[in-house]
Amino acid sequence: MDFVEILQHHLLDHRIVHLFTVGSASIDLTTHVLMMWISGLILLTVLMIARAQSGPVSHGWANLFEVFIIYVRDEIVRPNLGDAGDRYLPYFLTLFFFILICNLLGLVPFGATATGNIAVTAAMAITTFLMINFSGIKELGFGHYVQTFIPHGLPFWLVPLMFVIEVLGLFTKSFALCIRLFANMIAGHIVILAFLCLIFIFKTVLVAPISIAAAVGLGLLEIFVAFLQAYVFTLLTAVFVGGAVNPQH
Amino acid sequence: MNLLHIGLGYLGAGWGAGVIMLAAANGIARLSAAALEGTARQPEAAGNLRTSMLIPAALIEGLGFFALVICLLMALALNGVIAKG
Repeated sequence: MDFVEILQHHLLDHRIVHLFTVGSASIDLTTHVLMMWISGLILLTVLMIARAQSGPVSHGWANLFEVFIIYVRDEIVRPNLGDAGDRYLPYFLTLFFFILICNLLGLVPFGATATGNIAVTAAMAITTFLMINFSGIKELGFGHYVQTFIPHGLPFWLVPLMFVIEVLGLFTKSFALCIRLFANMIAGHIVILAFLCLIFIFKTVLVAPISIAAAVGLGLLEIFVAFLQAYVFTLLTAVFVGGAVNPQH
Repeated sequence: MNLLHIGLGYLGAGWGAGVIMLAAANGIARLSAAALEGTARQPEAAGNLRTSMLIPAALIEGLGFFALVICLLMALALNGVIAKG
């Protein structure tokens, strides 16, 4: 197996079992789909246990998740959406925990990174895009929402250009969210695999201490990047939805 | 299939990635320098400064990854050109 085959084996999606066919598209159970299901199951069980253990005095899992949930609510959602943002809190909490668990599942043995598949991150970015527009239209009404695309205090001949730029910016923001998460997850895994393949490229075991030390260090960095990317995706979604819901300037 | 052209293509992909890495590292280094100076002047603001530093750092890193994806696509396209002829 050469380096490209090893990368393809670890980073690309592989079919496990074929489920059904819709027209010319075949819907399969693949590794990344399985990882997303596992992530959902983990979150369902652990969060149900946490809810059962919560209350005036919380025990166990509830304390752990309370740290994250309070952080998302007080540092991400409420500063950007105002106090009316509590209605959007379930979406942001789901987003944060799903991305976090999917990222972390890529680091355990026999796991694959579902968010390392550009289709998964594109789906989340499309959901964010729809969320921005629907929340803006719902809070402001369609006419006022379109008016927010025209900045204030501009000479009138500049308005059409700025309108086009703002609409393009809407698409660019979602595209950037997609690419940022995808590339962060894939790049870490590629570098770890490249270091480990150095042993086989040089065909000597003397490279092994360096390779394994680098792989361990990069693995620790990967854990940090997993948390950071979940936080950044949620934060930027909150900033964009907040900008659409209450545009100040 | 001109080997010189293909070689120049690979060179462009590699150098492009390197230049983007320079620019992104420069931007994030300036950010963290400002955050460290602010924390040194006023240690109570450390939390706010850290949060304000992380957001632009993630955005700049996103730009770096855009360029990485572009360079990877360039290299893969050149691989395809070589494989075809």
